[in-house]
Amino acid sequence: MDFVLAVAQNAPGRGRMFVRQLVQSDSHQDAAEQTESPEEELYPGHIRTTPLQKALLGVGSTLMALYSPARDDMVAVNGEVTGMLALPWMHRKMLEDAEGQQILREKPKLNSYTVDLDALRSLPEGTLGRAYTQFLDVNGVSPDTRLPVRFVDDPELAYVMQRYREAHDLMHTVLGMNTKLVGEVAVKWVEGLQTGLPMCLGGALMAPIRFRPKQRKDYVTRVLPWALKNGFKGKFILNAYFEKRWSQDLNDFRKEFNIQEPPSA
Amino acid sequence: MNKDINAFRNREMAALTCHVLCRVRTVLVSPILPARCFGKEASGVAVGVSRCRSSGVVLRGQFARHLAGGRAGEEKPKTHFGFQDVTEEEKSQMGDVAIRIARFAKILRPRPGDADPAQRAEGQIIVCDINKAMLNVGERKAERIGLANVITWKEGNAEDIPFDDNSFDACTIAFGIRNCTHVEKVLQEAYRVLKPGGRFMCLEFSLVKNSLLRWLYDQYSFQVIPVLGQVLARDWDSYQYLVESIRQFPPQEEFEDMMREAGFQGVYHENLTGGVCAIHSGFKL
Repeated sequence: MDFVLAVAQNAPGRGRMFVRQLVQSDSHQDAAEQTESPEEELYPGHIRTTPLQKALLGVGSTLMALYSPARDDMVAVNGEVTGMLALPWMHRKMLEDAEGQQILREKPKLNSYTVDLDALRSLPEGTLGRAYTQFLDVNGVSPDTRLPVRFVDDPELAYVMQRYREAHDLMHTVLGMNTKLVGEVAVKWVEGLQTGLPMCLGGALMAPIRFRPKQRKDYVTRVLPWALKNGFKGKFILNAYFEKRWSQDLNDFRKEFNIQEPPSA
Repeated sequence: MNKDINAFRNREMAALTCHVLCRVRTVLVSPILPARCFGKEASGVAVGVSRCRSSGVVLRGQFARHLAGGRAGEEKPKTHFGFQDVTEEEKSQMGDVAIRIARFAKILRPRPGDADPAQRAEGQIIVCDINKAMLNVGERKAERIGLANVITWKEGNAEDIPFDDNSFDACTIAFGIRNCTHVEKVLQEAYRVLKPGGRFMCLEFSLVKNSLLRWLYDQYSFQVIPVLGQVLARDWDSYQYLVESIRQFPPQEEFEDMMREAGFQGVYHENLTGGVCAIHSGFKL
């Protein structure tokens, strides 16, 4: 009994699964078995969802994200649920590249525990690692705020989605964009064109509605053409094994991946 | 098997359990309905419960009438007046069963020359819950609607009620008992603290009898509710737990047997919305 309690308390999802296996089916509980597909966690935190639930989540998360932009979890859920076609495409792009294959083999995680941010801060000016920590410090963001993937029904694709999420700040760094609205939209364009994720493209199309006139002018004349060019011409940035490139010069990185210098302010 | 499942009950959800122990003649013990009862402060079952509340007025009216024991005008002439007011109160404002009963108690048997019936409120309602935060929410609400002198608030576990034997006229629990780890213990404790002649009533999610309705209800429960939980409350897991815990709870007849085993007599149940919820009642004789 204690063991069972411990399982339930420490791993709620798995605990539920365990309970379900203990439950004898009777008419009262049959319904639960029939309406829900058998509960299997493919990876920690995985929630199995039916197509109807994915559809409801897609619609709900879109509406909620528009209504309340502070709901970053809605943007995350939306990306997972609507990215069902984009994720295999991203996965294939990684498989077709040697470095991408290495990432998929080793499945590195990018957060403040796996990356020594202080060591990066002491790298020479102009390196990728230094620029990354400068981005984090100037914009007041942390690599630990990325939510875990829950609704993708394949562990490999879930990793690809997680990697995309964790690499978002590095996208900012590589593109030289800040976290203000115009900068975020530019990053979303490049991400959207490179990954095909509807959440990115949708966000890039919808967010400019909130621009003030001055932002809109800057966006249309300077930022958008540059972002589109990079999105179409740039190499797939997620194929970069960032953890092995911290001391690479940022400009060299950009040349390698066909990224144009960010337009001057 | 049910015992094993009971052992898993999420203690956080048990925070929704509230025992109101009342010394008022006509009994009033009610669990605190979350969310709408206490505004946005209470988290949890709002979404799952709201469907039950849509038969809201009927549900509360039936419940309160059950507790008062009879139809309007049956027992004492003045009771009719009380019932009328209760019904109007229900229709005009939201509130937990405890609050509604407290109001009912306040206006019970008004006497001529009464300046303020509240000053002469007979009897006492005690709300008992394992979660102090929930009690605080209830306390604030009671103050806001002027029932602070009728209700007292006590922290305690429904499986080990901190009161003496044979001390209450009535004991109720609403949408709380399925969150308790040992349902039989809760029933035994309720029996213990009731006076002979006292009544126990339980409002809880139950088994829908009609198979079509049950299918629709299950589809809504499993397909829609956790999604709503994620979108509105950032919490898929609690709402998944909610709809699962409803299915784990014994059906109406089995729960009646459990009540009889605890010693209750005259046990019966009434279904609401085809069995989505059920009110169980039993007496200690």
